[in-house]
Amino acid sequence: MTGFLEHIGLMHFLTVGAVLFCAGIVTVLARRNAVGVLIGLELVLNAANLNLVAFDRFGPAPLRGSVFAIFVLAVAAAEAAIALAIVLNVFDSRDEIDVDEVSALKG
Amino acid sequence: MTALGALLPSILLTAGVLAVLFADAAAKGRRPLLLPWISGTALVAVAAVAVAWLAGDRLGDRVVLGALRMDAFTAVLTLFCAVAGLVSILATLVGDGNSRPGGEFHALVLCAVVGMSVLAAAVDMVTLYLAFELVSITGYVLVGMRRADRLANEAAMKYVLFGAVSSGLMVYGLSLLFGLAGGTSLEALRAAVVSGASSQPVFVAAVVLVFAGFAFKVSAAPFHFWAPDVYQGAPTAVAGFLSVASKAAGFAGLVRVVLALGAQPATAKEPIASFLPWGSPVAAVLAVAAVLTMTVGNLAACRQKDLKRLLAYSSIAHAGYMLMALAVWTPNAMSALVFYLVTYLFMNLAAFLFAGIVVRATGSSSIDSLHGLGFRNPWLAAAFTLVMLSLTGIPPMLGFLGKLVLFESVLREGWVWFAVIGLLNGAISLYYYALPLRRMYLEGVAEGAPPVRLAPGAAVLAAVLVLPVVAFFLWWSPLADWARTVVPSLRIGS
Repeated sequence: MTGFLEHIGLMHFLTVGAVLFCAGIVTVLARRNAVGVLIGLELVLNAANLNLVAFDRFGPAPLRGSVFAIFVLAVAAAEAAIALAIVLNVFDSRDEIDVDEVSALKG
Repeated sequence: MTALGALLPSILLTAGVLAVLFADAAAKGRRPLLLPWISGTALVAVAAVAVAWLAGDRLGDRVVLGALRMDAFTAVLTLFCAVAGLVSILATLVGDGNSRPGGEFHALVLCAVVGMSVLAAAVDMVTLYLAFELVSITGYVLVGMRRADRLANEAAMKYVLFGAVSSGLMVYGLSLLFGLAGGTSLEALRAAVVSGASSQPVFVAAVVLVFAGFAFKVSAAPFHFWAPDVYQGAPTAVAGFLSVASKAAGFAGLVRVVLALGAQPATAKEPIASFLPWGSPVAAVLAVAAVLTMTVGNLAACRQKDLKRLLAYSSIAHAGYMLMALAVWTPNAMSALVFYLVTYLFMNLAAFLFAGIVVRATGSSSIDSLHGLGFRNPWLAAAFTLVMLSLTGIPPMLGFLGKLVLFESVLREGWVWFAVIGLLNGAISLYYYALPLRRMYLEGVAEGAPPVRLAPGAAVLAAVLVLPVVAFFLWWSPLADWARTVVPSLRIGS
């Protein structure tokens, strides 16, 4: 492997991860649609996964990070399944998944 | 202790999950009373295992499978969560919501208890994260169980969005800590902290992100917004389960993480003796969170019209008191935290049990539905009064003892301002805990108000919960001594 790929190091991956994380947080905060919030959440989780895999590649603990990342993927899938089921249920009962409009509970 | 022994609670509970699901499927929807028996047996067996661990002193205080630390703290929290799960299942049978829940309800409660017992023992970031998510995900479903109920739907949606985002923050923080530590075990993290990783700016960011996840779990400010909505929309027994067991598990995980983040050398004889010096960033974050949480919880509780929302803000305030102990972080304070958790278990489960009974009888969770309860059912009203006084911290109730031990441990370290803020908060709480009492006794009884019946089973359960609240002060010194024995073994390494 030669060329500019050699110059890609840990910091590059971490920077991409940090950008993904910020994009995810902005999406979570800006989106009013519940599905949009969940998409932002996926960005956050993938930022974490990118960090884990990058630390794994460049760090002293081989495989640990990759295993952690696989678990994060699995949990993210489970969480998304549950969250979408709940959001669908809300949509069934009130034709609305805007998180600001679904607000019968307050005080 | 062998790995199999350490996993015994999880194995028993998983067997219970399978048994309850098969029994439900075999009964083809006839919902036999068999289900509570199965899940109850599993939980009692787990509680028995935990008691045997505590009594037998055979835990060995070591790490099994590189991920679970078997010590007295683990045993206490396992016992605690099993008892809370059992009481919540029984409270569901006598409270509001579906009083004949299907197999999936029992399975979810058992799964949640698995997650809690593992979270209390976890000394590896992967295990910690998985257990944390097991507790969260089962909680989302439990809250949204009543699919036809609009409020329950909304509560579940708020819970899952808030919870998923805060756990996302936490896992990003964990990924950074993994990079700093070069390994996933909390011991590796502590070694990295000891050798100076804590001076890096990214360390502070990672710690704040991880604390955000735990703040959600224990409903600490500013991540407490979900709690009132979720407790109001969820079935009352589930709300009680979340407010007690889920919160205790969150504190257990937080204790392990703070153990790793503290800067004591790995060879220290006294494991947690004041290794967080005054003004360390971790202690400062915890202290600010404690003050904010108790003040926000108590002030917001004062203007509530709904009984379950009031109890939700009250449980936020109690989380603030418990964070006080974490911020002080001496062996004394840690034993006060364990003691406080035990007092909180009885008081809060009883409060939510009574709320569930009232909601079932009147069909409303408004505080007004308590109107004249002192005349409609004097026994229930009297027991409810005792629990409210205990939550306020009036002597000689159990809640007073919890606060006494806690504030004593804070004052012993010379944090006078901290204790004063706590006491002022206690004074504020007197106002809102008195609101339901006024409705029950001082405003007469409306014409034609239906009597509130207390089923025999509910009466027994209420007596079991209220008796300790009233009578434990007779044995409070042995109880406090026992809480002190939990602490010396508390560590994250072998």
